[in-house]
Amino acid sequence: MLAMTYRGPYRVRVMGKPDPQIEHPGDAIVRVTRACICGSDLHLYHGLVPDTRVGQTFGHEFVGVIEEVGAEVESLRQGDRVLIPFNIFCGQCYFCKKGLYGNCHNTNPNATAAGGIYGYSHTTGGYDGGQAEYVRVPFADAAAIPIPDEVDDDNAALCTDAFPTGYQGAEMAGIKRGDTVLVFGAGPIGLFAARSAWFMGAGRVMVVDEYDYRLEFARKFAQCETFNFRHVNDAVWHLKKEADWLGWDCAIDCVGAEAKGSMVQYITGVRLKLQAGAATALYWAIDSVRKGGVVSIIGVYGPTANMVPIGNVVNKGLTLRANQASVKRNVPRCLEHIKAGHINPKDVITHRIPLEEIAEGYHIFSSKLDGCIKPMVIPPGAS
Amino acid sequence: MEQFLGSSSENLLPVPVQGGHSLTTQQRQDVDLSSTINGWGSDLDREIRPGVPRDKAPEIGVEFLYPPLTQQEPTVRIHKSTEHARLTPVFGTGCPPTGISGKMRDAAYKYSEGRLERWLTLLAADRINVVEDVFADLAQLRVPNVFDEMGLRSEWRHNRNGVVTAAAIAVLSVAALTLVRRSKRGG
Repeated sequence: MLAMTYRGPYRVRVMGKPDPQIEHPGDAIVRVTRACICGSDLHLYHGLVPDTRVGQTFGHEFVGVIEEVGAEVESLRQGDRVLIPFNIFCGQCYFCKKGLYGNCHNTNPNATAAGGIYGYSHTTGGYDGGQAEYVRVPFADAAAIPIPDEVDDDNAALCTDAFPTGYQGAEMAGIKRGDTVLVFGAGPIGLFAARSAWFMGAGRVMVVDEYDYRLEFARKFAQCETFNFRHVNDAVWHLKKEADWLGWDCAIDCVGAEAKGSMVQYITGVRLKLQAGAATALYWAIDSVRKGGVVSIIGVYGPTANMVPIGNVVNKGLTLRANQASVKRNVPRCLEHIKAGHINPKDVITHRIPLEEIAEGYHIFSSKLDGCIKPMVIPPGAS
Repeated sequence: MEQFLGSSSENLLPVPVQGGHSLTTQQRQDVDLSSTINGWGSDLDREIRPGVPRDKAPEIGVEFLYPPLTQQEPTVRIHKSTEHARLTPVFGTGCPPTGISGKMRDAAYKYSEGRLERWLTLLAADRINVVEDVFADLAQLRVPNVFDEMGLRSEWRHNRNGVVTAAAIAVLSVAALTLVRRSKRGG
């Protein structure tokens, strides 16, 4: 089969690989019809995630058709259209039984802190991902979610990660009616978090980013206010001023490990790897919310430590909530929003790239070229 | 002390939507944007949100950390965290550890997850792995097409001015360095 393979930082190659096999009786093989490049794939692409091995196929956002099932799979048949949450989970352990599918204890031998994730280094289990023609899906009975007829593949693909992750970012912020909500990052996760904040009754939503084109997109897509921190020399001061010096009720960090805005954070976190990425957005989130406010962290950070003002968390009495999204838990509600016409997730797709040209897709997304918000990958033969 | 402002936020931000700052708590809580924002308030009832309550299942025993699931048979070397009580029932089998980088990964996984040695060794192994891959390519008489692998065709397509500027800077820098070296030799 044709698959994207990692060759080193900023280098990917499309090449032939053996088709995936059933390796466990709970497995299924899915023929991929749509995949996306996620912002967190860029952390791999930039060489920031430990144990990212040459030859791995990335891609944790994909949908497709069941091609083959293992002996223990009961609920799926060949030809079923399915969306596959980015988390790999057993559905039966202590955490899965609580709906914490992103924290499954049975799918990642390499680390206990993180569950398994498709195509996301050996730090999350060493599975190949969906930027390929075929992919192996473990515990397929638990993982694969049938796609309703009225939902197309493009929207379904955005329900494998981006939309439910943004939704959970907003949900973890504990938004109440009329709350003021600050969203850091105008990428797909930030856009979906901002939209979801409105669903939860927010009174005011502002998205923070450094790129004017992304903020322009956010204004239209999420009907929110926007703030470009590159236009000021003290972002937190402006954000506090905007909230009448009280601070914001909630802040959602949708940026994670490669935040811009602080030279010290960027050099120590991204260039020198002395901390687990640049935590500038989280730093600003903590400082921008009001006393007693909530900071929700849905952006991805590395496995070591970060410099953030934890003293301010204590002094302000903040609540921090964070997790990898439990996609399976959120998808039913996300699909209801799509069916109700509240949102059309595929509106964020700006680029459709053949799998054969995925290297250009990575470069365009990474370098923020051509107004890129979300690139979708189309495998050969997919209509 | 007055802060220096690169620009004023009043000039940057559009007029705030209803429910924004300068409203009382009561006014904020009375906000209803359903006529202007599609889907506004559809999840206002917290009970409707998938994450509420946070832990849905009743307390269950910790023995369910590793429920009795069929075990995948390892066909390649699998690294197991020292913090796992047993090998997980499933795992990925792509890209097994090989070469010097593989030995480094073997060493890294002897440390628990909180140890910096583990993660820095893995990052170093990743870089060694890239060099090994280049040698593997060359051994098969294949030169990696770095231009294509970095997707630089798109840079030319979408950022032509940037490419031309970068190329001009590079050419001028080389020319300047050459002139300086020649003048030193001449002197």
